Amino acid sequence: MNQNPADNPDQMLWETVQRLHAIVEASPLAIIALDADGLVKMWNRGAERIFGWSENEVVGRALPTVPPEFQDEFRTLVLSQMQGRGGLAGFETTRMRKDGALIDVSIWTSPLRDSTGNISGIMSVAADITDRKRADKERSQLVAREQAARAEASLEKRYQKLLESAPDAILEVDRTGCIVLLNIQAEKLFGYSRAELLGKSIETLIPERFQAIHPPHRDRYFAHPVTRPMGTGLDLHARRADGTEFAVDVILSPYEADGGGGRVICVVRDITDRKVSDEQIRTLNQHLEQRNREVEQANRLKDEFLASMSHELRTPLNAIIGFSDLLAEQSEPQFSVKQKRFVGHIRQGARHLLELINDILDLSKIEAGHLELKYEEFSISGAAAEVLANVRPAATAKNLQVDSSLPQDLFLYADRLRFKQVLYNLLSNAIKFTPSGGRVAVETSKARGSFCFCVADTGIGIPKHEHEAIFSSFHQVGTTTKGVREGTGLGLAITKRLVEQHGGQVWVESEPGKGSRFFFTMPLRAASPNGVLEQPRELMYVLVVEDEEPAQELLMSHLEDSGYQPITTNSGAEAVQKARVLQPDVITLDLLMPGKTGWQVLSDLKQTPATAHIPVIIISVVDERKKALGMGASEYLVKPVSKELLLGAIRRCTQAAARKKSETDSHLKHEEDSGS
Amino acid sequence: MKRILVADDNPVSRELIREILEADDYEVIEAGDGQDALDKLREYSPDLALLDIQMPILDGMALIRELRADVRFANLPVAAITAYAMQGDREKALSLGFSTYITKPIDIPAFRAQVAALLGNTR
Repeated sequence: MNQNPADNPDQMLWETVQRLHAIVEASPLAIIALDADGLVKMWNRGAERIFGWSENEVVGRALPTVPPEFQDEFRTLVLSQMQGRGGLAGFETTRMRKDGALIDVSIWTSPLRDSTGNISGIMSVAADITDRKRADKERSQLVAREQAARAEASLEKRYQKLLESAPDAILEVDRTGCIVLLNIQAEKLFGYSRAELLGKSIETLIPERFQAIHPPHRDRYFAHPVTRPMGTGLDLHARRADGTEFAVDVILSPYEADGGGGRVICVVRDITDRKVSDEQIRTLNQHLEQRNREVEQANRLKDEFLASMSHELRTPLNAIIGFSDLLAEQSEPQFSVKQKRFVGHIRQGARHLLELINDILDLSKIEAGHLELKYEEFSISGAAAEVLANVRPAATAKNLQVDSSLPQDLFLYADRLRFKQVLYNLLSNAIKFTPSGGRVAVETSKARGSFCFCVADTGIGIPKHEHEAIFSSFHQVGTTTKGVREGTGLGLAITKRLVEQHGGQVWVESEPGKGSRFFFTMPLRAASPNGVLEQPRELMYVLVVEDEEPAQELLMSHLEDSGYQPITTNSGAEAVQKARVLQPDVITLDLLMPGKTGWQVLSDLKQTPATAHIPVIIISVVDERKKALGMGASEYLVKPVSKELLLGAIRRCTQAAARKKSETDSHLKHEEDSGS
Repeated sequence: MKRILVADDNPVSRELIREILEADDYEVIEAGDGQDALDKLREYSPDLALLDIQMPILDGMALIRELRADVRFANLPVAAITAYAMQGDREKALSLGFSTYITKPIDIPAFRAQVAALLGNTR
């Protein structure tokens, strides 16, 4: 049988089969052939080694190595192979061994074809890659652990830096008061090194006198650990290594350390500088308060001084004015011309002095804020007419023409007396500084929520640089007032303040030789709709005629509560007399009184010219309204009288009286105009 | 002839008022302090009293209280004549019972009219 195998085809085929079989059996890989139905056709020793089943156990049966959860995947793979869609090359998946263990495998496949070229099965080669897989996994886990460790280290470094760069001292203390962590600021602030403080009690940093009481506080904190400032409202002190003390603010914050155990983070701030500035502010405030008290005291002394000076000056002035006036009127016939002139000088000088005293008093009252404006609604032309009547004699003496073009239907809500004073000051100045033959005029216009008044003259005028200064105290226009020196120098200062207190302004337009135009404004204001004035009301007097003391007291308390000034009397006779002298704004009258009856008093009041205009409110237990109103009473109230009823009646009376008064004012003004 | 009591601790002030009143044919009784005034009011029963506010022993404010509490003087016209001209002084005087309030230095024509008016009321 020494044949050349090439000569015998059967021999060659047999040898080839033998070699292939040997390769298959020698392979460390599992080599498995499946038929078209997926049954095992071939199972080599490699497969037996890897999977545990012997050839006999698996050939002709379904592949036992596919775990249940991979059955779907397996079926798909087989189908795809059988349809000739290419083999697998290193496909990694999971298979099961006979002992049930799962292993990782890598699979290569190739189709098997029959003699006609149709795919009749699959040849599959599988390698056990479980160990390699495990090694890969372990390596990547190792890498991840390393990366995490590096990140953690960098984070800790960051927190460390944060801790060290914090501007405040930060210490971590455990439940026993032991310092377990601190930053560089803590070292600097307390003057200890880190090594000296770690493990030491926190009480080391507290002044000795507080050391004993600190541990109980610490225990209480750990019983209720919340973030809060330490010792609210207390001045806290800390102690340095050298024993010196300093003021601190401490904020405590609880914190649960790793491995349990309560800790507290203490943030300590040196507030020495703040304490110093607080102290400075306190000292400054005290100083200011002291100064304030001194100023108030000085002001009070000034007021008292002015009051007493006014009194002391008035007393001798009373004698000078009184007796010089008596001299002028009683003894004139016997006097020489010269003596008469002397008496005239005394009288004029004394009057000037009185005017000065009044002005100083006025100005100081205004400046001390003691001047209360008594607002009321009044006719502008009516008030102006009274002022013009006052200044006309002086104007006539200098042959000055005084023109007023104030409309009659204008009403101003202001302090009537002070308004007149302002107008008087400006008009008398104009007359004073206007040479004879000149003209003085007063006019008004309504503009931007105000009345604007103008007092113009054809006088000597005022240089521009004096336009502001003339409104200050004791200022008189220097050279230009030559020969005109009788003023007090306070008139314009008072005028300015009075106008400003009303909320208005005053200014001048003038040039030397071209006359002056003084302007002032008064804001338009109105009484409130219900007729009760919002501004302080002028003090109103109410005469209470009542003989029963309790009733009298009740009426008085109602009146006083509401800002009225009650005057009382219990006799009818006195009632008429008081009404005449005191001129109250309203009278309340009880009808049943001993002596003169209320009826008699009412009739007397209404028949006496000096009292006929005063409104009378009858207050009685009997209702005889018709008779009383017929006799001239304004209101009739039946006892008991409530406060509301009383005040309502008084208000109606005073409003009616005010209307009558303003009508009379404009009527008078009308007469004056047509008369001149 | 109407009788008027003038109470003022300053003799020159009293003399001035006396001069003015006597020229108008009134009888003038002078008092130098509040107590003196009270005594003379009781003794002479004048028709009108003119009281200074600031007086020794008994001042005008205390005196008017006494007078108004006394039945004999409750209706007597009493004027305050004073050099106090501060705000509030007038209101205080009137509320205490003075019939009127005259400030010094007095204005002679106005003063004459005020005196006449005060006396006119007691008829």
